Amino acid sequence: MNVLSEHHSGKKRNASPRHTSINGVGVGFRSNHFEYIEKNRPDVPWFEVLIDNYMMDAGVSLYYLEKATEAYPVTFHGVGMSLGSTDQLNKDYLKKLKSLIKQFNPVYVSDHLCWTSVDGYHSHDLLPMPYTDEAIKLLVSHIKQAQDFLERRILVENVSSYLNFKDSIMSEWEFLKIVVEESDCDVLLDINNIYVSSINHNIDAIQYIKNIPVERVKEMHLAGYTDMGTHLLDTHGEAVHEPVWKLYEQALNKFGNIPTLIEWDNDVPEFSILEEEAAKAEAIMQKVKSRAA
Amino acid sequence: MLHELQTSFLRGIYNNSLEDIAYPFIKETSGKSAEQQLSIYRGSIFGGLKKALAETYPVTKELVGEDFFNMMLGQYIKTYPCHVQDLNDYGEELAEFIQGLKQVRSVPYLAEVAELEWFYNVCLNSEMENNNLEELSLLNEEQQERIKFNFTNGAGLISARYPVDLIWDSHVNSLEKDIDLKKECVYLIIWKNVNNVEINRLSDKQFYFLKNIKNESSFSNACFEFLNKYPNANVTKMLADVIQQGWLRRFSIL
Repeated sequence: MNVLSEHHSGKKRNASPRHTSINGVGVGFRSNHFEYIEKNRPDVPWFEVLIDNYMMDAGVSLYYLEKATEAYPVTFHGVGMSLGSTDQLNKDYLKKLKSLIKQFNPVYVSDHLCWTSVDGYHSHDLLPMPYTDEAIKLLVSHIKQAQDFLERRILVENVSSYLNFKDSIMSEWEFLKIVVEESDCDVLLDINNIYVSSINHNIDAIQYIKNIPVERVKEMHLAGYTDMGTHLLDTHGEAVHEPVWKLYEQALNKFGNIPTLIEWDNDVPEFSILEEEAAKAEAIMQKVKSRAA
Repeated sequence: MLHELQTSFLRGIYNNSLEDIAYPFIKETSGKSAEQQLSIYRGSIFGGLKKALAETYPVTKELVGEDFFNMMLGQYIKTYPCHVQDLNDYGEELAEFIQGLKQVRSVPYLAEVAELEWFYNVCLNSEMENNNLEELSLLNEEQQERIKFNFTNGAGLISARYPVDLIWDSHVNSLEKDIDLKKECVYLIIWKNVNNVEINRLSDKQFYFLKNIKNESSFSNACFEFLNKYPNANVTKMLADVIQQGWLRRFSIL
């Protein structure tokens, strides 16, 4: 079969099977592994899809995504909503996202508690919010608008941060808690980001985790940072570091066995390395589970 | 206040005026000055854009080496901040930017290679539109006067002073072949043929025919301009030829 000519035809396909939940430790669905996944159907409970890379009408990526969703549950993770920007939400982006949601039925849809663009300038980076009432009001409004438009609840992820704003009047966890409760959204808790920010700003990571409302956390992220000497940088280009594994165990103790993703976006290794990382996370999950039982 | 913070932040990052934005908004903490904190973001934003541009311009990068390429991109990003949501759409002005650089005069074909790579990138990321040319036979005479032909998605035309198609090919495919760099005009079309991006040479006549079709408001205007330059050309035959090649796939009525 000439798959290329078929998926370049632009024909709309039937919706993928509807999975309603995810469990255990998933990995990122990255182009380096498309062929491997299709051919080998690895024993992975679910995949997270970086959905900004699929916002076209047809193409190779969509073909592989369609194949993957026939066999696995997926979640959608985005970087393009720019929920914290003082610009209006990008309706074209949301329309494309909604169309993909309808087509592929992700279990969760998430983006970040940050801003990426303003006034026509795009950073393609996850920029931090000042922890102020004005920022809360804006984020709550944008999250509600996004949820109304998409007709579903979204998850928001805490980002790594490398600076402090003078205007901030509360801690990051207080800020996060108020935003998610007022907007009635859920949380994608990135354990690596908490650790990176805790080192960069000399804050207590355990205290952070203790203050996140349990019922809101639906997914967790694990990734590797890079030690730049003066600060830690969230690069997603290395294996998960030991202090992050320890913090992850603390998080599982508090939140229970929340589905967790191994994120690896730069210098992406062979799929087997991701499976090894996932197995480590799974072992910690089982350890916490048996201790609780 | 938040809007002022965000606009100052991002403009300052792009303009490299970190001091101006640092003092009003950033708190010095953990032994780091406001500028040091901001420079982390600047490095991260510029790094992400450079990575995207390096993927779009691999041969341009190879021709000048990684260090110079990165330095050049640093200047480029400051001159042309990113205004697009899709990173594949960023970098359109790099060829024009290179033309103004004194440092690359020893590589006189660099800007033309960059132009070729940009069109290649556009074609690669374009979606195929359905061909509607069979509907041409349904048009009446009055409608035929108002036809505008559209190029295959993303297709680009280049008139280059050097054989940039050969230069590009030798780098992409690591070919050890001698390329005669003597100045001779090369006309190229870069286009998407179903799944693959193709680079084809054109005759000067084909080039001007296609260029007029692309630039003029209608096909009749394009023919008028073209016949001024090539009065003996057979326009009907040329049109049939470019359609057969797959370079024109659609038309609209103005």
